[in-house]
Amino acid sequence: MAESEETQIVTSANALDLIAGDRLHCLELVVGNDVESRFVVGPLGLKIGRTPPADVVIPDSSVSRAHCMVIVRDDQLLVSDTGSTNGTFVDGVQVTEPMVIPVGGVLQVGKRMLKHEWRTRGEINHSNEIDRELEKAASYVKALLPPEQSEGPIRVQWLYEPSAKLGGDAFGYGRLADNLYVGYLVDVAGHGAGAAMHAVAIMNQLRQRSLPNTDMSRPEQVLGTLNELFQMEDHAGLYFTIWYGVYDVQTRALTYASGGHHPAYLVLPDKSMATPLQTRNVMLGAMPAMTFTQATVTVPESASVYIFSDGVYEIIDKAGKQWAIDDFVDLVLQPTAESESEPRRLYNRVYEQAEPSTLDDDFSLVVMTFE
Amino acid sequence: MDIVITDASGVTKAELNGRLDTANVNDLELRFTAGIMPKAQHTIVDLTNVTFIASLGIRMLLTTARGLASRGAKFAMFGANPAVMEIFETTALSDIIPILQTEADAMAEVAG
Repeated sequence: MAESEETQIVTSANALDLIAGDRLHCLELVVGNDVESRFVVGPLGLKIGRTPPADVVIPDSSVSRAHCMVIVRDDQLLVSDTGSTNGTFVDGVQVTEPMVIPVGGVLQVGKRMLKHEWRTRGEINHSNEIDRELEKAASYVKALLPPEQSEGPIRVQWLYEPSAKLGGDAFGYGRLADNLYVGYLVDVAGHGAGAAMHAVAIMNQLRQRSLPNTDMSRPEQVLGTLNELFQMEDHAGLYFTIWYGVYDVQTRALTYASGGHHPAYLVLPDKSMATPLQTRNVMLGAMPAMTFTQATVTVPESASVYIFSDGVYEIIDKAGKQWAIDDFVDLVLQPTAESESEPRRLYNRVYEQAEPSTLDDDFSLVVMTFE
Repeated sequence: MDIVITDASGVTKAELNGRLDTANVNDLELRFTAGIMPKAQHTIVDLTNVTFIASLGIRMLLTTARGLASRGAKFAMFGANPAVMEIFETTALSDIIPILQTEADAMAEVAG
């Protein structure tokens, strides 16, 4: 009986070796349910840290320069802490000596999470192929965004950083009629392929500058029509928020409406004041037959309007504080920088202050400056 | 993110705790929906211990409310703190879903 058990064990081990030969140990950096990056652990192992020469560089202040080392031994993944400040953990247990990371286990490096997956080359190749397709889709989304404008009655700068490979934000601007210019930003709830496809569908409607039975110069009508066209039951349960404004260069009147969206801000050139531009309307797609309202403001000479998605300010900072929109407006009112564009300045300031794990939404910011 | 779903006098009560951010909604949504929708009865949601709600969290609440409405059941929420209430105001969610101050108010809303 003992011999039989031994034989079974040897047979089982051989079978595992065969399977192992076709599989690779991977560490997948995850944000929420999304895989941000995948790293195959080779024979030399992987050094993980905040800066090179680490093989896996995680630019996060909670990660030490040389944080930990992962190796494969006897076809198991082992991690050793290399003197990190904030510790290395496997499934919540601190690593004080070389520790096995089981398949499916989570390696915590500072505040970032890497999941151990044991994948075939075929799976990795397939996943890489999907990544390439997503990159093509992301390029298409970016191609729909208009170029920045450095001349003309309205100068425009923007920054678009999707949190996943594909985001759910989109925006546009341009001439609507002789004296009228339009600007808008759309934020579909969520991100990924579904949200991006929805954003593209909405964008393509707005880019045509035409909606059925709708005066495109009246934001309240535009929101009402979009609400009927994009009811969430007909669109995979997706709703979106929008800020839509129309500017008359002759009268300097900016007429705007927001649907479930936080305010855009009218900022004076000396940055002495930021005025919220918002009308209280429900998000679009949430309920049919809703009535929408609009408002009008006169734009002072050389003033700017900041239009942005909620991913710009819905962060937790490194002091543990949940930001509200006023925290971002405080940044807006700080002086512009000569070395970087205004959207880039704001992105960098937010990025510096945010806990990286809370940068989990798309960052879209459009700054329109009126001559 | 914790969720506790109980049943009292034919009304489903869901108690949410923590941040209703993108990652937590991904983990929670199935449990939330599966704990509420099959019963198809009036539902109240306790938000007293919710510290933040992202757009995906709003979508989860909205989808459930609309799903229940299509089956003749009412949905109300209560106990939102000022920060969460501000998010609801921005989205005008209260125009679609009743948001009350207390559990008794929410119970009265769905019973009425």
